[in-house]
Amino acid sequence: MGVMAYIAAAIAVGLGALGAGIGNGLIVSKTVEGIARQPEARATLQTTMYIGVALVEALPIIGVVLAFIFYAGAGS
Amino acid sequence: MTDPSKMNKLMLFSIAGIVIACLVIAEIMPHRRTVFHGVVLGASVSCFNIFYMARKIMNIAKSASGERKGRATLGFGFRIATSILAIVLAIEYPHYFNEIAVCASLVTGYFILPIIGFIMVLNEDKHHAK
Repeated sequence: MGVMAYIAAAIAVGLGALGAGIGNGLIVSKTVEGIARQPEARATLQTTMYIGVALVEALPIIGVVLAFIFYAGAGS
Repeated sequence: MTDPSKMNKLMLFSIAGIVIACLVIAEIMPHRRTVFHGVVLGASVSCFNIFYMARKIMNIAKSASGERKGRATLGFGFRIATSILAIVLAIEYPHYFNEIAVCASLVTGYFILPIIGFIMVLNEDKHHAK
C-alpha cells in the first residue's frame, strides 16, 4: 500500500501539473497576443482568460489535494 | 462583455450563500457537523483563491497593454499552497473538519465562476438582441 500510494501521488501531481501548465500557457499566450494586437479589446479578453484559467485550474488543484491525502495516508 | 469585478461580486454572494446554508445545516444536524464545517473551510479557501487569481489576471492584462511595468505571474503556486494548507488543517483536526468535504469543496469557486460567466454572457446577448 505504501509504495503504491507514493506512485499514485506522483502520477496525480505530475499529470495534473502537466495539463495545467500546457493549458494555462496556451490561454495566457493567446490572450497576451490578442491584447498586444488590440489593446482596446482588453476587457473582453481579460474576462475570457479569467473564465478559461478557472476552468483549467480546477483539475490540478484536485490532483494536488488528492496526492497530499495519498502521501499522508502512505506515511501513517 | 462582463467585467471580472462584477463576476467576483456575484461569486462572493454565491459562496456566502453556500457558507451560511452549511452553517445553518450544521446546527440542525450536529452528527454531520464536521462535513459541513469542512465545506465551509473549503469554500472559503476557494473564494480567496478566485479573488487572488482575478487580481493576478488583471495584472497580466495590464502588463500586456503596457499600463504596468515589471513581471506578472499567475500565482499558481500560492493557490496550491493555500489549498494544501486547508487540507493540512483537515488532517490535523479531524474532529472539526471532514477531510473529503474539504477536498471536494476546494473547487467550489472554480465551478461557480464559469457558470456565472456563461449566465452573464447569455444575459448580455439577450439585452443586445432587444
